[in-house]
Amino acid sequence: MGFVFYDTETTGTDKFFDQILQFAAIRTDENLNELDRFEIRCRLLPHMIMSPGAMLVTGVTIEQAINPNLPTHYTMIRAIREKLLAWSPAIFVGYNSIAFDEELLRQAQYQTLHNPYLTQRQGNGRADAMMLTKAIAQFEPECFTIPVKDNGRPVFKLDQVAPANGFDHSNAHDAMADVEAVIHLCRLAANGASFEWSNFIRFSQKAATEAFLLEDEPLLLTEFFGFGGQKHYPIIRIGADSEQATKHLCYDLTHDPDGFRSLSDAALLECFTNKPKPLRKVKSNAAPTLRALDEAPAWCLGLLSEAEVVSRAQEVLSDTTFVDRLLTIYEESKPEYGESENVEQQIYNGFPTPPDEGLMERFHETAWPDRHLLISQFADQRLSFLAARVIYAEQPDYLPDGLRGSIEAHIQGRLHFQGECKWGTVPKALAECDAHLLSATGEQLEMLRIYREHLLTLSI
Amino acid sequence: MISFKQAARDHAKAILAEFGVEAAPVPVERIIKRRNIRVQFSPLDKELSGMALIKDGASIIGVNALHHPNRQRFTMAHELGHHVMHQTQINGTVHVDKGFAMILMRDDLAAQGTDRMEIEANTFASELLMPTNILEQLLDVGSVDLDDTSALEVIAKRFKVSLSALQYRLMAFR
Repeated sequence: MGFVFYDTETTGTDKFFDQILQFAAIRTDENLNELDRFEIRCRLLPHMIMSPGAMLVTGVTIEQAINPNLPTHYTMIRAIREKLLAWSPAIFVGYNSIAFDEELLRQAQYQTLHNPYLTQRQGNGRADAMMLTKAIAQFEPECFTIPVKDNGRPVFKLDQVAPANGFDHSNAHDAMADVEAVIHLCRLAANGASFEWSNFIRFSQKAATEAFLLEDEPLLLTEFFGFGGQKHYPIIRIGADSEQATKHLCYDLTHDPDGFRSLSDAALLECFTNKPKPLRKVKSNAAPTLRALDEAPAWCLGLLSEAEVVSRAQEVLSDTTFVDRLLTIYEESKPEYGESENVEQQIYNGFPTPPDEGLMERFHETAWPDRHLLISQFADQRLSFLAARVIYAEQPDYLPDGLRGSIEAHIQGRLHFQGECKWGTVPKALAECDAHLLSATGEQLEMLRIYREHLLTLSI
Repeated sequence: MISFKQAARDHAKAILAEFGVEAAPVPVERIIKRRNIRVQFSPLDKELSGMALIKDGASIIGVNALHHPNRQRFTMAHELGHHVMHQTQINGTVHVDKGFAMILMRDDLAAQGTDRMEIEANTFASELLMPTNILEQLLDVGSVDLDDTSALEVIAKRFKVSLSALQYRLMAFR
C-alpha cells in the first residue's frame, strides 16, 4: 500500500509518439517514508528521433541513447511492469503526470503488447502532484511558496516550485531527482495542507470520485489551466457520456437554468461549442480537484450564496425534461474524429478481445525465434503490427523477410517524412538542431553538434 | 439494564434524530464534519479499514483510500462510533507524535467478537447507516430471505453499504 512516485524522461513532449528513455520510481508507505526505489534507462527505438530540445532539457546525449549496453525499450518496459505490479496496489503520483507521464506509460505498455492501464488496475489509484500544488496555492496558500513570473503569474514548473520550497533540485530533469522533489513537496503538503492532501488521495480513486459525484449534491470543481490560471465551478452531476462512462457531465450552477431552457435546440447546441457552456466534464479516472460545497470558500461561488447553489442544483435535478435535453444535445455536440492511420493514436480504439489478450500473454512467454508465428493470429490489426515492430526492434533477424521489409519501410517512412507530423523526423530534428546551435554554448553546443552528425548518417 | 449493544444503537439513534435523518442513504460524512471531526484519507495497508484518533486536540477519522466507497462509509461510521462512545480511551492512547499510530483496527478484533469497543462501534455503525425505522419501511426485517442477494443488493445500494453489511445487520433482527 502507500504511494508510488514516478517520473519519466523522454525523447520529446508528444504523448503519442515519443518514447520513455528513463524511468524512476520510489515506493513509500502512507506516511511518505521511502520503502524501495527503482530506476532504469533504455536505448532509443529504431523508429524514434529524439527532439534536440528534449535532449537539452534531459541532458541525455545521442551516444547515451544508442548505447548498446543499455537495456532495450522492451526489456525496460517489462522491468517497469514487473516492479509496478509488485508494488500494487498503491496510489501512483507524478508531476504533470495525468496529462503526460501517464499517457507515455500507457503508450509504452500498449506498444509492447501489454494492457496499458497499469496504474489504474489492481486496485491502484493515480494522482497528479502538480494539480495538488495548484490546489494548495488556491485553498491553503500558506503551505507553499509559489514562484511568480515578471508578469505576476504563478509558475508551477517542478524545477522552480521545488527549490522555492527548500529542495536542492540542482539535478532537475533527472527522473530520480524529480521523483525526490515531488516527494518533498508532498511531505510539505501532508504536514501543512492536510485537507488538500486528503482530497488529493481520496480522488485518486475512480470509485471514490464517482461515489462523490453520485451523491446528488452540488460540489465545487476546480479546473486548472496551463498558464497558471484556474476557475471554480459549482456543479451538479446530471449524467455521463454515452461512450465514456468515466466522463461525467455536470451542470455548471453559475448559470441560471432559465437562460438555457428558453433557447431553441440549435441555440443550445451552439452553447456547447461557445459560451456560456452549460456543462462541465469531470473524468472520474483523472483525479479531478473536487470538494463538497460546504468546504468551498465563499469566493469560489462568485455572486451566488451556498443556499442559492443548493436551490439551483435541486431545481436542475428535478427538471428531468431539461436534463434529458441537455444530455441529448451534448451527444449531438460531440465532434466526430476520423480514425488515425497511426497505430499510436489508435490506442483508445477499443480493448483487445479475450483471445487477443491471451495471445499477448503468449507473445511474452514465447522464445524470440517463434514469436513471429503469433503475429498473424491476432484478430486486432493494431496488435499484429505492434508485435512485428517489437520483434524488429529486438531481434529483426527472426522476422520473415517480407515482414521485416515492410517494418523497415514503415520506419524509413517515419524518419524521413517531409510533411506535417506529430512524430520526430530527421528533417525536423536537423532544423531544430540548427536553431539551437545559434545560441548553444559549452556542453550543449557539443551535444548538438554530435547529434547533428548522427542525424546526417541517418539521411537517405 | 440495557445491553451495551443497545446502548451503542441508542447513541446512533440520537445522532440520527439530531440530524433529522429520515431517508437512506445516511449522510455519514456530513454528520462527521458537523461534529467537527476531520476525515483524512490515506492509502493504508489492505487489512486496515480506518482509525480514530485525537491529535493536538483535533478529532480525526482516518479512512483507507484504497477501499471501496461503501466500505469507507462503514469505516467512517465505525470510527465515529469510537469518537462518540470511546473518547476517553482514544485520548488515553493517542501518541501525538506518531500521527495515525493509535489505531483501532476494525476487522480482526470485532470479527472475533473479542473486543467490546469494536463490537460497540460496529453496532453503532450498523444502526447509523441502516437505521431500524428506515429499514422497516423498506422490508420485513424479521422474515426477509437473507439468501435473496439480488433483492438485498437493491436495498444495500440504496443505503450505500455492502451486501454483507446489510445481511449482517438483518441477522440482528432474528
